[in-house]
Amino acid sequence: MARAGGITNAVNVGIAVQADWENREFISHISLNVRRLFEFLLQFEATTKRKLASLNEKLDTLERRLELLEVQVGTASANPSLFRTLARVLKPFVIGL
Amino acid sequence: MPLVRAQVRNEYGLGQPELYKDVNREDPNAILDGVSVAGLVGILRQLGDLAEFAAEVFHGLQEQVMSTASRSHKLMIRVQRIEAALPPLEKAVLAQTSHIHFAYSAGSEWHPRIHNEKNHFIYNDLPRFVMDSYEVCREPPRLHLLDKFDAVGPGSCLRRYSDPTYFKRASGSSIVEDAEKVPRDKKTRKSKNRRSSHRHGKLSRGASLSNRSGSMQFTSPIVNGQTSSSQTASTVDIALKSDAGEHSNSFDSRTGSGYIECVFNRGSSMLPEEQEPKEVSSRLMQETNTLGSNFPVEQSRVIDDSFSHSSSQDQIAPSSFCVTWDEKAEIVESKAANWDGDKVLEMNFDADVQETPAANLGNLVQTDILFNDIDVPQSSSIENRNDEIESEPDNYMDALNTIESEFENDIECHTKREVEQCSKNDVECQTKWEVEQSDDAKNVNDESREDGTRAIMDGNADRHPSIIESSASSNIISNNGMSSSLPDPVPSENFASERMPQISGKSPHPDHSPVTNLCVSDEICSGSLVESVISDPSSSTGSTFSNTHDPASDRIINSIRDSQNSQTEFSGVHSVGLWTNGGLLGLQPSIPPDFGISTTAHCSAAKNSEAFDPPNQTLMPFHKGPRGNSGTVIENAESTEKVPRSCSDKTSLLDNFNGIDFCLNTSLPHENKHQVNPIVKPTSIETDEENDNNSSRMFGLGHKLLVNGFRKKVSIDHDGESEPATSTKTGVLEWRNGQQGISYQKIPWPIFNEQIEDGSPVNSLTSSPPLEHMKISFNPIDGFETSKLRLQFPDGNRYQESARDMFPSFQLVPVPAFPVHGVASDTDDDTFCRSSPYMSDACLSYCSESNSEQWESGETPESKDHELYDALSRLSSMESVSSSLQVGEAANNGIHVNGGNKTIIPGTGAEPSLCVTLDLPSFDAINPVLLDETKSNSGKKNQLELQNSTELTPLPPPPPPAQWRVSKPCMDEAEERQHSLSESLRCELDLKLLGSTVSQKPKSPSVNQQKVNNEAIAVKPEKKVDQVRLIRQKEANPLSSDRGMDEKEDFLHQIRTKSFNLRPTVTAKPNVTSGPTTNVKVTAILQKANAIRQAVGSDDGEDDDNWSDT
Repeated sequence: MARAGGITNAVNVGIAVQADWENREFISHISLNVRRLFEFLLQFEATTKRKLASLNEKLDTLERRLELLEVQVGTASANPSLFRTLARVLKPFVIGL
Repeated sequence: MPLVRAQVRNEYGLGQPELYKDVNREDPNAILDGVSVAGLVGILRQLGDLAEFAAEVFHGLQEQVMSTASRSHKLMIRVQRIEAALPPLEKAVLAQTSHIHFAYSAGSEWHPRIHNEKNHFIYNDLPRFVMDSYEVCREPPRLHLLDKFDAVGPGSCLRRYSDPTYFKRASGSSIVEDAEKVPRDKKTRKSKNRRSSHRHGKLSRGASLSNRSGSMQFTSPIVNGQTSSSQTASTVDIALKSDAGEHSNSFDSRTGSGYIECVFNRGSSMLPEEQEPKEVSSRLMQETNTLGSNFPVEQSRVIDDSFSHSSSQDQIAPSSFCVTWDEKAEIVESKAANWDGDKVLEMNFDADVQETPAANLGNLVQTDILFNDIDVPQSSSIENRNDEIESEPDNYMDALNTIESEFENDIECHTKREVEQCSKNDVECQTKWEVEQSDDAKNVNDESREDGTRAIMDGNADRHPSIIESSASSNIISNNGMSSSLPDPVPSENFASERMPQISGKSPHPDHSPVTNLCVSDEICSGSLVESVISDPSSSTGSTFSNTHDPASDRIINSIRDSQNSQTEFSGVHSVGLWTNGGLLGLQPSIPPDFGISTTAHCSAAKNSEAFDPPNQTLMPFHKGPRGNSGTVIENAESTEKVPRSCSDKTSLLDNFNGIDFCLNTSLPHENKHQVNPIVKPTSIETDEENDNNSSRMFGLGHKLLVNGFRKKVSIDHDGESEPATSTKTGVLEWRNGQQGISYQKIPWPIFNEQIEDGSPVNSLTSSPPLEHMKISFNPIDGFETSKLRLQFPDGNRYQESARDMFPSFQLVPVPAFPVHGVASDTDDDTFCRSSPYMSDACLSYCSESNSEQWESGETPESKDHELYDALSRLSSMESVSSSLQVGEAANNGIHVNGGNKTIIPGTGAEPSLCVTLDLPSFDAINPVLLDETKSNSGKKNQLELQNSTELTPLPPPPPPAQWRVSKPCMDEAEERQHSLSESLRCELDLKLLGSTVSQKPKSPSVNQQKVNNEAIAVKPEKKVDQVRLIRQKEANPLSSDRGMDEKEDFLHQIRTKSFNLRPTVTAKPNVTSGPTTNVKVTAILQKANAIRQAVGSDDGEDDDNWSDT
């Protein structure tokens, strides 16, 4: 009996060890994927911020150009001597600017 | 090294170990299950971390995207406006018939709104680790609740609580103190480390200091800028991180941002303005006005904003940052409480006070502010409280004893004094805002402050009065802050906010504005002070000071440099001189064995020169000079030890003006120093003075050098310079001729120095002729001196000196020991020794020079030969003469006298010629049998002569391309020699005839050999007869000559022998070179020899043999 019990115990232990290995493999897979997710997030953040930064730079240039355009338009519309005929027409726009 | 953005821990580590540890050990399944469960739990936690991280990432991205979207949206709006405004313009433009008038239109003057961002670091891109410190800071107290009690208006209380200017002032003063008390910090830090452990829940003192420095940077610009525009810009940007026009910034949402709000109250007030850019610009323009006018409005807004932000932030963990400063206020507070017994703390704050000392401090400040504002005397129960508080802050101060401990103590002392004075003032009149009292207090404080500052400044005060002034001003400033608050019933406000009382109390009054202005100016001064003070410890030299300070300080610096670095500068200059002689330095290696100590000195000098050349050449030598000087002083300590200040100063000046050329000149004094130091210790003073003279004269030389050629003038100048120093001792003034300058330069040196070599190479370096020249000139000069000395100073001492001089001179030659023997021994061995030195360079120089002289004489055959003949005739035949040196010297002298009018070459050549005469017999005596050797010797002599002559001859040409020139002149000289020799043969034949009649027929086997060689040349039969006689006498010559020496001690007889010997030597020379048929060969040989010599660069006799063989 003892012998049979020992065998059964050994078999059980082997089964348990095998199951443990399987569990560990599962856990490691999940953990690896989680780490990949972290990495993905980091890359995503980096790329996104880089693109946003480039976009912001473009926006900066656009703002500057727009500012210049606004000033030009304002001066052009505000200067009656240049546009005698349409000075009246431009006034409201200038005010709006 | 990548920064860790997110850390993913091990899944099993995340799971609690109890899951598998507490399980029954005997059940393996349970254990394994526990482990697996722990892993699963860890995975869950990892997922949780992932979710948090993702949320953080996406949150940040969202913010940025939103900001970008808002910007883009604004752009769209603006574009739409322009688009709407454009069509009418377009129509108008198109409607114009002629567009020419646009060309004459002025156009639009438009300048983009450029934000003058004075503080890029604190602008809106504070890094996270910096922002973290702000986040950790506690929220400002809810002082807005007290605004209703403040007469000034809303926001005044908060401003009093945290005035950025206060931090700047305090930190500036603290930095000053810290900088001055750095050595003390070590002690304090130890105690600090001990005490800091007691401080739990608070940042260490270092952290507080860092925070303080952060606050300094953060607030100082505001103060410096003085215009609130910068403040608003920075603060607004900080506050409006994402959107310019929206208050919903992440910064405000953060907990613990109260401090920042405190600092940026004004900025927060500007937030609404920021929404409209144009208004902001206009607003900025308005803000450039005086602070006083802007304060009320800003404060009001501050209140609004700060309340909205800080209302949600009530209790915050006490941070050490504000606390540290509050502590001082607390201390003063406690002291003030003694005399301000009327005041009572409100119970609302008592609770906070009991919580933590830091909270106590802050609360106390609040209460004080309250009391000030309210001015409501209340129960005296506060005294007990104050006592408790006082005890606490003391301990707290103990804990704070860190870098500033002593300074704080000083401040405390001052504050105590001030408090006392304040109390007195209060006793006199408790009226609140009396400027007079403040002035008095200022005066008192200023006095005390000045004392403290002086003590602080220590030695620096003498050097930098300007710094002292600035420090004094800063102290005054701080005192102003102190004093201004002193009249207040509560002095603690001084610490809390220096300006606050003034602003609050007098903002409504017109008088207040100037006061604030003064404060601002003071702050600015303090800022400058801070810089200066910072520079003080770091800059022991004046260079750093000069940056911070004005011309006054520069002058001081210069003076300091002069005082400190006079020697160093001199050394540096000296080194430079060596450096300029770089061409010579390459030649040095051949010399070193001869020089010994001097070579080492030169090496060091060369090193120094390399290091120092640039600074001297630069326009600002002073700054660089001192640095290099330190190193040079160490290396050239010997040289600089006895350097007079005058020399150093002069040299420094020259460095500034002349640059390299001057350096060349300066090298002389350095050499003088070397020489003087070891040798002429008793006469060092005199030499120093002489050196001074030399240095002073060197200036003129340097200028001359600049203007004129390089070598000649240098040599001449050196002559003129060296003469005064050496002339007195040498007594060779007679020999001085402008042309013989080089020789004179070297003459003085041997006199002073036992080692002539030291002096000579140095001189050569200074004069910057090639070493070969140096050697030649040097050796003959030594011979000169020795000869002269002997002739003029028959005393034994002098003779010994001359012997010494001779010795070093021979040391230059690879075979140094021989000459000494030659000098010492009178027998035939002397001749041998002489012959050996001939083999050596020194002898070579003699021989060559003699030959050269003969050549030169050949150039002027009539005068020269006759002169030589005369000299020889005066001298008796000599080989047997034991004292060859004397004879040689005499001959030299005689020749020198003859050739005195001639250029340097003849002067030098005169000596060698005599030496040659001596040498030839010596050879004969040594090897009467070997005719070949005599040939070789003659060839050697010729080569040596060529070398020497080449060396000598190049001296005159001004530009020194070194060896190249040497080679060319050699050829020229060789040709000249041939001619001269051909002529000299004739003369010599005549001389022989005369000499045969007059003088004996001693030996001169060499002559015989030469003549044998010259038989091909078809010498006259008379010669042959003489040679035969000589040959016959050769074998018996040594003995006969010895006998003659023994028997004939008569000097004249010796001279006769000399003269007789001279003849054959003279003839020998022509034999070698004079042979008409062999002239071409000789020239070719000479050329080869020169080439070989140049290639080899060594003067070994073996090389000479090789030359002769070739």
